[in-house]
Amino acid sequence: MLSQDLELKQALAKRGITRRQLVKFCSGVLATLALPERYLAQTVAAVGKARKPVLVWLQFQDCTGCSESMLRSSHPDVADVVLDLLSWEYHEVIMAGAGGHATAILDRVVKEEKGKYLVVVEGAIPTGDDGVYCTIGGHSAMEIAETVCRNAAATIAVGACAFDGGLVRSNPNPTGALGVHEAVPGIKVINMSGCPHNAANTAAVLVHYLTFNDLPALDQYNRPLFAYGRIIHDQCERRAHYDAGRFVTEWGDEGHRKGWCLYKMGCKGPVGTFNCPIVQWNDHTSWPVRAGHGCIACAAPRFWDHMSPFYERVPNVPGFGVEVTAGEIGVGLVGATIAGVTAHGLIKMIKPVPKPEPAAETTPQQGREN
Amino acid sequence: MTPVNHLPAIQTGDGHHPTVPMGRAVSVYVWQYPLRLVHWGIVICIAVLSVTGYYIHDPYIVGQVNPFLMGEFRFVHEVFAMIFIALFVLRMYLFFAGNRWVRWRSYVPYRKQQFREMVEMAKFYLFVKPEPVSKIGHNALAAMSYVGLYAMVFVEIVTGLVMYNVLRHSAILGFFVGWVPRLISPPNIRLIHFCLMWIFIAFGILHVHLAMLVSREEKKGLMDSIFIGYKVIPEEDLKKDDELYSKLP
Repeated sequence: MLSQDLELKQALAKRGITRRQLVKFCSGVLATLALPERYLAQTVAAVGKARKPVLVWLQFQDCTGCSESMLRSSHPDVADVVLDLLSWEYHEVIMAGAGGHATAILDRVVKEEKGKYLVVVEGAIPTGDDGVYCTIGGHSAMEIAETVCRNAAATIAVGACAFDGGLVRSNPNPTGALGVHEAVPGIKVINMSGCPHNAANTAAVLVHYLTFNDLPALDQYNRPLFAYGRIIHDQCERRAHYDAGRFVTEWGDEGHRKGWCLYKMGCKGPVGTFNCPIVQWNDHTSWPVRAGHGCIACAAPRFWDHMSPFYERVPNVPGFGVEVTAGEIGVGLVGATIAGVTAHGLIKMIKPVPKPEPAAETTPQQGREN
Repeated sequence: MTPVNHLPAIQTGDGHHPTVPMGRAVSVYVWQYPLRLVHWGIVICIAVLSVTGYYIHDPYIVGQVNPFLMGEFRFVHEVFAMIFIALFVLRMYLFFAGNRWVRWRSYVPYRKQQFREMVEMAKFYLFVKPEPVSKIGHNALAAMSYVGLYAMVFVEIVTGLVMYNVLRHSAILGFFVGWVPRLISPPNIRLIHFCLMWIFIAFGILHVHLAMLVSREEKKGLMDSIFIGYKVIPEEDLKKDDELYSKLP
């Protein structure tokens, strides 16, 4: 049976999760959402009383990295509690059912929970050639997304691919892949961009939905502001090195060993927005810049195309090949100008054009006729 | 058109360099002081912004003792950028409020005469014609190149403000430039901003060279005029300008 009338509190108790653990989890979520502490009681009550909403997790053109990220989520309790917060009915990677049994569950959710369930989409949706590049159970990704997302209360697009097509859509995009909000326009969608999404943020969005029955405040790309409202650079632990002019100039040099700023190595922290430096990854252990690698702005729109080359400060100038930097072209331009100006001046000095005699003061045309 | 060189002139001895044209010549106040302020302000701004901007692009001083080196470079860059914007706005105002040589009519090429003038001037630069087109204000080719320059300055200002707003998150600024990153990705905005700097430097070199060249040929005090505002215009040239000629004492 689909609907479980158990209240969440009971479900959690059954799993051996105490009220203390629930309060702890809710405090963590409140901190991630940047909500004041006075919402704690409300959140705990809402989460405890909630009738488990149904959630389905769709996968299209993806690498399952976002599912992996969700399953190995960093907060000790997130995986457990989120799995228990919601009635997770359909998820190709982790569900036991297969074939017709699995698709029957999806059909039943769409029919019985119409307008009430949540959908998480992972992966891009191919639209080229009628969507033949991704089909599940005889239906194209396009058809499945159209049916499942249209009938849902809200859609959560996790990862770069579901956000805007990600790697699949990057140039030359042979399958015509699109993100969810472009492939299925007009639906209520929240984008959790990033490659992969950060499970802590997605859990926070789910809890926000359970508590307030609404999605958190969004930015211009429909991403929650609490996670995508600030640039990496402003939150970075290496920012002091940037301000002081201490930069890594070569991989493995002294500055790199001392943990200096990766700006010169092409770090995209100054343009990428995400809460990576605060929430971090793998049990709050580390994040790319702490590990000594520059940010690639994986949460930015179309980052594969727009943020590459990942190890250069600025992109290459089109038409000059990959070995020539914009700086070299600029120096060349100025050098050529100096050379040209010098040559022009020299010619002017050496070879003065003969001036017409003041007597023959006629227009050039008349002069030729004469 | 009668070039100045055809007027009788004092010969200095070598026979090639007549100095002061004789006959009646008039000092005309061509470049008003706000225009000269804009000109020299832009020169200083481009110099400072290029040096600081290049540091921001590629920090060439690394690991020094100053604990706020990049911060200071950025501060100077941002302050001079604001001055640059103010000067640009003042120049745009002068396009409509300045004197006849500063107004938009003498810049935007829309008359056949202006296009003819461009061809004549190009011929002078390419050693085909001995004389430059001699005007009281700008010749049409120079004028058009300044229109192009101001267009590039506008792009430079917009791209700069986009990058500034990535850090500032200003709602007002976002209203004006927030749409830009949706069309052009931030690294490409940075690339445009950086490449235009090189074009400005190249333009500066070319500008000084051509100004000196024309000044030397037409002998109306073109180089002086950007410092003091006045050009020495022979009476012959003034005759072609009824409005000016009528004011002649």
